[in-house]
Amino acid sequence: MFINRTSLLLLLFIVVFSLRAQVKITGSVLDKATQEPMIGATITVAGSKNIAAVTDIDGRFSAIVPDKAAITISYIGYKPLVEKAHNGIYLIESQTNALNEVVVTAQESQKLSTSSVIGRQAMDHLQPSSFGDMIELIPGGRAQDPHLTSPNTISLREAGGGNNNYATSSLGTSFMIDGAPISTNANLQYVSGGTDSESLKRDFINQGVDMRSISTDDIERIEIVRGIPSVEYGDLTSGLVKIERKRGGNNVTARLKADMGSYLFYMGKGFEWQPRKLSLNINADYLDSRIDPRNTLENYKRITLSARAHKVWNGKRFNTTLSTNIDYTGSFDNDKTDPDLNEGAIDTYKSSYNRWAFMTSFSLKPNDYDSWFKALNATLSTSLDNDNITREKFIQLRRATIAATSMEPGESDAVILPYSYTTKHQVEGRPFNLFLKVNAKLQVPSTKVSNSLMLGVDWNVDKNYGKGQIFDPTLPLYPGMSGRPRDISQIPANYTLSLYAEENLKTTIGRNTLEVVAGIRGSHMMNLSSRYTLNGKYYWDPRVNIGWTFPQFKVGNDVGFVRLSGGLGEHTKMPTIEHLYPEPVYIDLVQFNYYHPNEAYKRINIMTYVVDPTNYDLRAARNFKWEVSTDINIAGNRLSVTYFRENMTSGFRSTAIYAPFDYKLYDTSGIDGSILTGPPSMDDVPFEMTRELVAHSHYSNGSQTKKEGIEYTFASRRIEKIHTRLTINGAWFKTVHRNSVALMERPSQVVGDKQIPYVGIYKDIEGYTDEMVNTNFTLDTDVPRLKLGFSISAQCQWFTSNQRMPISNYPNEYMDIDGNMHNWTPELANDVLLRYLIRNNTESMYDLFKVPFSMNINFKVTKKFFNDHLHIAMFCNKIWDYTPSYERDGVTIRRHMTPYFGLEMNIKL
Amino acid sequence: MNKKYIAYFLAALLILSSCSKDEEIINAPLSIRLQLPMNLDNATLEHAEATLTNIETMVSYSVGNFKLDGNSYLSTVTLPEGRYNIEATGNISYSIGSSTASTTMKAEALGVEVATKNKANSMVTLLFNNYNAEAGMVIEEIFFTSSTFSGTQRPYTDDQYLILTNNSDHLIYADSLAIVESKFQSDMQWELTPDLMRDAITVSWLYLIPGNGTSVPVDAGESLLIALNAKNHTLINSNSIDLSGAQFEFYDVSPNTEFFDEDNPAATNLIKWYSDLWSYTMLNNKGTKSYGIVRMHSDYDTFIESNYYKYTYIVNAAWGTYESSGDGYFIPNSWVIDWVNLSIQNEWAWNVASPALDSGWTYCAETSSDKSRYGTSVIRKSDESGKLVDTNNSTNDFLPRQKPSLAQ
Repeated sequence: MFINRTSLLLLLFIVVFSLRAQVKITGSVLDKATQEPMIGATITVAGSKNIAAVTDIDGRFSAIVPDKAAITISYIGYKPLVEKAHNGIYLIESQTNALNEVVVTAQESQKLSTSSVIGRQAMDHLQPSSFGDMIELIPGGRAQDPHLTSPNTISLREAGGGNNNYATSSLGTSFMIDGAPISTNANLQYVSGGTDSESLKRDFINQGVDMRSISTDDIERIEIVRGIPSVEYGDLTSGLVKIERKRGGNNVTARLKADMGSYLFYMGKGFEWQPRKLSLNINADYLDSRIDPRNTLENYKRITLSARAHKVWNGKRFNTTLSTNIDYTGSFDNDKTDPDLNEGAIDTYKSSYNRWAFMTSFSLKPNDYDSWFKALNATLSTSLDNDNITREKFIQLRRATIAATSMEPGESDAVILPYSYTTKHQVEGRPFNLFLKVNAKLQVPSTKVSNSLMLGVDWNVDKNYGKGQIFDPTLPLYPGMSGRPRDISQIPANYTLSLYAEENLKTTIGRNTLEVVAGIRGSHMMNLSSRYTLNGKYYWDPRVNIGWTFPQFKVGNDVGFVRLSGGLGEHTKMPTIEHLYPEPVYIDLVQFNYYHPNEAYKRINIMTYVVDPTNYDLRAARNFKWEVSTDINIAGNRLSVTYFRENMTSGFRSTAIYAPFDYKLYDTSGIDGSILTGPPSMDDVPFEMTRELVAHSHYSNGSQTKKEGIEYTFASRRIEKIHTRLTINGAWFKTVHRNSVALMERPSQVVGDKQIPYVGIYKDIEGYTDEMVNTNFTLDTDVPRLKLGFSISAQCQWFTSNQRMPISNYPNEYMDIDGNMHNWTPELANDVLLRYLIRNNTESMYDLFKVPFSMNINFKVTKKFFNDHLHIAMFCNKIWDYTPSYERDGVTIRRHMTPYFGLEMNIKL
Repeated sequence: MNKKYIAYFLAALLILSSCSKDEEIINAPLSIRLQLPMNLDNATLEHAEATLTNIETMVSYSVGNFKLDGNSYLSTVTLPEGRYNIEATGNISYSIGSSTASTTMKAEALGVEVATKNKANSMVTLLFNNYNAEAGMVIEEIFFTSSTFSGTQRPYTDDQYLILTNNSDHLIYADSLAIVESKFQSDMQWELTPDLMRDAITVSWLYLIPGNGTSVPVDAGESLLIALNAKNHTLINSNSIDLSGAQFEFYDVSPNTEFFDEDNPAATNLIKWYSDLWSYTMLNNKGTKSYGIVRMHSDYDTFIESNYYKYTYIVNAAWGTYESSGDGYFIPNSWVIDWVNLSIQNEWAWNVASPALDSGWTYCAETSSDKSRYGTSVIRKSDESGKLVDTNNSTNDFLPRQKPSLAQ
C-alpha cells in the first residue's frame, strides 16, 4: 500500500514540478552534537507543505526538488533547518541541547524501548572502578560502597535480592561489548560440595556476568535497555547492556584512582590515520582492591588489555567498515587465612579468570540510496577462558569421618579418613564461546515512511574444555560430602541458532509521528539428545514497541512535545551448560559399619548409586514484559515516566527430589573381634534390606520473579546563570519472588532411631514481596570559565519493605518410604509421624518489615588544569546522611552510615 | 497392708507400755492434711500414705485412708503425745497441656508436736513437692566442651561424656533411665505458649539406658560412664581422653556418610527415642543446653504419642519481635531424677527448667567464643562424708571449669 501511495505521490511531484527543472538530491541528516543519524526527519521544499522525503534508518534521503530550491528539514525537538538543496550532509541542532553540553547523569534514550544512556562525561564524573558502579545512575539505583572481593551481578528493575534461586534475572541480562556477547553459559567455576564462605561467596555460575571484570575506562557509551530490546538481541530475559568502546583519537590518556578500598591505574593510546580512515586504540588497566585496606590477605585484582582497530573504505558503490578487537581480561580473587592466626595451617582460596576475546565485525552499505538493500552486518566473536580455582586447606577432623570413593555404582569399602591432612581442590574451566551474527537491512524506498526491515540470524556455541573438578576423593576438602572429581570437557557443546525479523517504521500522520518497531525472534537449541524436551523446540519471541508523538507546541519562545509509547514482548533465556549437564550425584549409603579398636580391622562398606540429576524436561526461562511510557519535553526540560510489568514464571531453580534407595543394613554385632586377623568378611553377616528416602537436587523452571514498577527521570535544561542542571530520577519497584512449582521437604526429626520416613510435597515453599521507592536529586554545575564541574546528589530512599507471602503449613501430598504419593488429609495431623509434615510457620512471619526514609548526600567535583591536560577529580559518597533510628515492635533499630571517598587524576596528552 | 501397720502399731504400743510402765501414755488426735502442689492442673491423689516417726522413741505409725476435703486430702490419727517426723507419699495424676501425667510424690514435716494441750498443733499440713521419691542417681560430671587437638588447638568433638553416680546408700537399677538434652538454650530466653516449664522439661533428644529393669545395677557410690563415642581417644589426640571403658555410648545409626558414627561393640548403645535433628548427636560444646536424667514412666509408643509438644514463642531479634513456633517432647518434672542447668558465664539469660529441678546453673565457657572452655568439665562437689552434694542448685552443687576427671 505504501508503495502505491509513494508511487502516486512521486507521480504527483513529477506533474506539479514538471514545468521547472527538477534535480535529484541525496543527503544525510545528522544531529549536530552527536553526529548521529536522524531517522524520520522530513524534507520539504521551502514554501511547500508537501513532504518531499523522509530520512531512512541511516538518516539518508533522496528527493527530487526544483533546481536551486531551498529545502526545510524538520524533526521534532530540533530547530528547523533551511538550506539550499545539495548533495551531502545536513546538520540539525536540538532545540535545547547546546553543543558540548556536559551530561553527568544517565539519560533516557530517545528510542522507543526504555533504556538509560550513560556517556563518557557521566562516567568521568562518577569515577568508577568497575562497571558495577554504573548501576547507580539508572532509575532505582543508589550509590553503594564497592564490594570488589566478591562477584557483582546485575539486577534491573528489582527490589530485594531474592536468593540464588532467582538469579535468572541477572543471568538473563545480556552484556554486549562492541556487538560481541560476554557469554557465561559455559561458566562451571564452582567448588563442588562447597560449604565454606570462601568458595560460596565467589561462586556466580548461572548468575550471569561479573561486572567487576569490566573496566570502564575505554568505554565511550553505555546503553542499558531496561524495557523491551530489539529482537536482534536474544538469550536474555531481563535486560540488555550494550557497551561501545572508544574509537579513534590520537590522545594518550592515563588515569590513577584511589579510594578507600582500591586503587586503579589505566593507560590508553589512540592512533588515527584520518586520510586512511583507520584507527587503532590500545589500552590497559590494573585494579587492586582489598576487602579492608589493612587486610593484604583477601583481595581482588583485575588486569585488562585491549587493542581495537577500525577501518572504513568508501568505495564507489559501497561503504565498508571493518572493526577488529582483541581483549584480555584477568580477574583474580585471593583469600587466605593468616597462618599466624591459624596455628600455622594453610587455608587459601584463589580464583583466576583469564579471558581472551577476539571479535571482528564487518558492515557494508550501498551508496545507492534507491537500493532496497540498505546494509549488511556481520559479526564474528570468540572467546576462550582459562579459569582456575585452587582451594588448599589443612583439614583436622573433629570426629571419625569416612569417604566414599567409588566412581561406579554398587558396593565398595569406604576409606576412613586420617584425622589431619592438607588437601587441594582445583577447578579448571576452559569456557569457549563462538558467536556469529549476520543481518541485512532492507528498505522500501519511500518519501512518506521511513522504514527498514531487518532480517538476521545468529549462531552461538558454548563449550567448556576444562578438566573440571580435580581432587583426591580420599583426601576431600569437604569431609563427609559425597563428591567425586568430574571432567567437564566431556560435556557436549551447546549450540543455539536464532533467526529474527524486525520491521521499523516511522511516519507522520498529520503533524503527529508514529513509530513502530515490531519483530519476532525464534531461537532453537541444537546438539541436544532427544531425551531433552528442548530438543527440536523453537521459542518465538514477538516484541513490539509503538510510539506516538503529538504535534510540537509553543511554550513562550520555546517548544514542547509529548510522546506516548508502549511495548510488550516475550524474552527467552536458554539454560546454561550446568543447567543441562549437571554433575552426576553419588548417593552413598553406609550398609556395613564395623568398629574395632585396631584401625586395621575396621570395615565400612557402602552402597553407591550414581544418579543423573539432569532434568530432561527443563525448558528455557521466559519473561513477558509490557510497559507504557510518556516522554514530555518542554523548553529543554524532559520528563520520562515508565510503568512496567514483567512476569517470569519459569526461572531456573535448584530443587530437591526425593526417591527411595535400597541398601542392606548389616548387623555386625555377631562378629567376634577377638579372632579377627584383618577386616571382617561380610559374607555370613546377617542383614536386613532397608530403604531410605534420599534427596538430590536438579534444575527446574520453578522460580517466579514478578516485577512491577514506575521509573522516572526528569532532567532540566541547564540554567545558564548558575550553570546548573537538576536531574531527578528514581523508581518504585515491587518484586515478588516465589517458587512456581511444588517442592519437596523432609522433616529432620528422628523418632525412634529413624528420620521421619515421609517427604511432604508443598505447593508453596517461599514467597517474598519486596518494595522500594527512591528518588535521587542531582544538581550538577559546570563552570566552563573555571574548568570546574561539581555535583551534589541527594539520594533518598523513601522506604524499602519486605514481606513474606502466607503459605499453608500443610502439605498437599506426601511421599512414603517406597516413593508412593498420597494425598494429604486433615486427620493425618494426628499421626505420630506424619504430623511432622505440618510446618511451623506462624502469622507473624508474614508481617511487613519496613525500613523508613533515609537520605545520603554525595558530592563529586572535577577540575581541569593545564589546558585540559590534567583533570583532578574526587568524590565523597555519604558526606552527609540522614538515617534516623526507627522503632519496630518496641525495639529501636539504629542505622549507621560511613562516608566513602576517592580521588583521581586523569592525564590527557 | 494397713493390717500390717496396725500390727506394728499394736506391737509398738506393747513395747512402749512395757518399757515405761510408770509413765502415763496420753494419746492425742492429729489431723494430717496433704496438699497437692498448687501449680498442678486437675491433680488427683491416690494411694496416699503417711508415716509418722516419734523422734524420741523412733516408733513409727502409719496413716492411710486420706479423703478429699476441699482441694486437699485429709486423714486423722490418734497418737501418743510427742514430736514426730512425718513423711507422706502418694501417686498424683495431673494434666500437662492436653495430656495426663502420673507420678509418685513425697512430702515431709519434721518435729511436729502432738499434744492435747496444744490445740493449734492438732492439725499438720504437708505439701507435696515435685520431688522424686527415687532420688539417689545424680549426674556427677558432664564433659560437654570436648577437647582440642594438641598442637593446633582445633576442636576434637568425639570425646564428650557424662558420669552418672548412685549417690544413695542402696543399689539402684539404671535401666529405663533416660539421658536428655534440653530443647531450649540458656542464652536465649523465649516466651513460650503454652508454657509447660512449671511442670515439665522439653527435650531435643532422649536416649534410654536399655535393660529389663534389673540389667543395670549400680551399687551405692558406683558410677556409669556414658560416652559420646566409646574408644580410646588418646590414640587419635594425645590431648583427649580414654573412653574405651565406657559402659554406654551414643550411637546414631545412619546410612548417610556425612553422619557416620562408630559403634564400639564393647559399649552398650543407648536406645534413641527421639532427636530433633537428623545428624549425629553431640552435647552442646558451649554449654547452652542443659542435661538431665529421667525415669521413664511410659513406654515408647505412649510417650511418642502423648508427650509431643507444639509451642509458639516470641523472638526478640535486633530487627524486631516476631512469633515463631517449634516442637519437641515434654517430660513431667516429676519424672526427672536429676537436672543440671548449663550456661555461658556472661551469656546466661534464663534456666530452661523449673527451679524445683535446679535453681542454679553451672558453666565452662565465660563468653560464647571462649576457646579456653575446651577441655574443661563441670563436676559435682562432694561433702565431708564423700557424698555428692545435691541441693538441686547447680551453682552450689557443681564446680565449673574443671579438668575432666578422666583426663590423664
